[in-house]
Amino acid sequence: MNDRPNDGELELRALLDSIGMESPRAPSPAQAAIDRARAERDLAQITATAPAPPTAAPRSWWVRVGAAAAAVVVLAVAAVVTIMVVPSSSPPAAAALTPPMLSYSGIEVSAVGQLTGTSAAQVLAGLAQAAEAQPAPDPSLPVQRIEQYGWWSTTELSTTPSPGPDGSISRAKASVMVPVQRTSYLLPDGTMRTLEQNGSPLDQDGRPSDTPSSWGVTASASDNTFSTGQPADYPETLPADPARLLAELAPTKDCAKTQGDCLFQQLTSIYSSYVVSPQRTAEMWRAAALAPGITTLGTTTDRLGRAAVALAAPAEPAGEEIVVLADPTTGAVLGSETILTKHDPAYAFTPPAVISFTAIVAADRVAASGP
Amino acid sequence: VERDEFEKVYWELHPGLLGYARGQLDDAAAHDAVAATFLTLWQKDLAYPVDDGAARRLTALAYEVLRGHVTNEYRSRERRTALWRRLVSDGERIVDSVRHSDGASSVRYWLGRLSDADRHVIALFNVGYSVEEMAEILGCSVPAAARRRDRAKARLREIITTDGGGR
Repeated sequence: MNDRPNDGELELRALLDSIGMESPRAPSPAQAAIDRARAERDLAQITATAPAPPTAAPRSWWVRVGAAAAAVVVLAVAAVVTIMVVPSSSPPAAAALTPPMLSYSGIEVSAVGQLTGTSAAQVLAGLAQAAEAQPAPDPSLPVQRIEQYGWWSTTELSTTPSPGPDGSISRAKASVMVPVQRTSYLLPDGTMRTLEQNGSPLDQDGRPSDTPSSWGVTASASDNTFSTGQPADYPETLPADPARLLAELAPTKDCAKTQGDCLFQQLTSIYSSYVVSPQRTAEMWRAAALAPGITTLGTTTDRLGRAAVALAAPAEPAGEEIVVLADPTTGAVLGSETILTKHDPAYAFTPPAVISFTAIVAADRVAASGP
Repeated sequence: VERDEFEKVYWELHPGLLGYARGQLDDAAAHDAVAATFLTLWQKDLAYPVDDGAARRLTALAYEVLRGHVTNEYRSRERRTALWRRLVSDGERIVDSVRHSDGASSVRYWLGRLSDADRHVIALFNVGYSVEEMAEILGCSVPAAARRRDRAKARLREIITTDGGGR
């Protein structure tokens, strides 16, 4: 590979050395044997799967057939792959692969993601009151259980080439949604066990795709136990005063222009891991009322069919909006959605598009950390 | 591609791809990313390369696919780190400890500060590819590849200088 490094290469090598990034070395015999065994196992598993059936389109895209003909081939392959992903009668692939936008009473669907909402002050006050009226969870049950369901997006480069402006071959980004079901158990000592199942990428109709995936996302399950490093009652240790609570969760030094987003990010994280007391939930809503930029989109029905009020804040990074859904009768957090509001090269979705959502199915206390 | 042809490609490309992935991920994740890359290639009805040019383009495709898997892994780690930052009151200290902990974690920390494109170029350089070979993989001219490498170097230097001496 490299012959004789020039000054620039030597400087880059020195920089990489300074961060501990070493050049790959020939592995030791023992390591080589381990690598070989792993590689052989992987190869056997890969070739045990069925390769994709041949497509009608020209497939040998790397054959040089002249610039004009190559462009035709590339476009033909791209067209076929697009059709494989999305039927021709459907909207563009990127838009079709995302979950449908929820309908909100206070805003037209076409305006969702345009960061237009009305003041959420009254809604937040109502949520706080509703939360305060709820009974506290049974303290005799030691384990906090949170069950969630959601779709997360993932983006990869497609193997389909397309010509760049300079004639180079590039590959389009392809984004798919991955369904995730996650149950976490938080023990009194702060240890958390998570049981997570990732589904296969979803087709445009919302069902698992049976098309051989080029995205490397496969159904999987995991069972992990780790220490959170935090007390199990972490939310209850936060300040009760709404102003101090807001300052704690969304400090202005980090969130000067996006305090609403910072608070919502914290809030969704906390409710994804902890069973929060109704009193603390009420204080969360009162803190949210103090954060600039939080609006309401009105009422809606969430992904699980529950009545909800929707609260929105422009997200960081710019170009996204986070929507928190809450139960108007109990004040409980029901979940959240992230909406892509502007084109972002990190995604192959057409805005506005829901790029992730999480629905909290259950948040309760149980006797033990799962099966 | 027939199975025996695929196996030839597999054993030809595997060491380089694993080295590329290992430069950016821990060992298990690197193996997973490489396996996912070959699974993608296997499931695409690609033709066996019949000449050097076709072989180079297949190599370029493999690195692009692997780059996507590595990027996804970094994105996944970013999500987890963000969660830790939010869940743990002294998240900054945890991130800081990652930066100064074992070498592999430290490398991932610094590489994670780079853009996907810069990280890709640096990983190719670290594997040992010349600028001419990078140009083949990146699908650009040699001068353009050199510029990309120099830009990535400049950004890494800036990050190390400002972040490394700052906190």
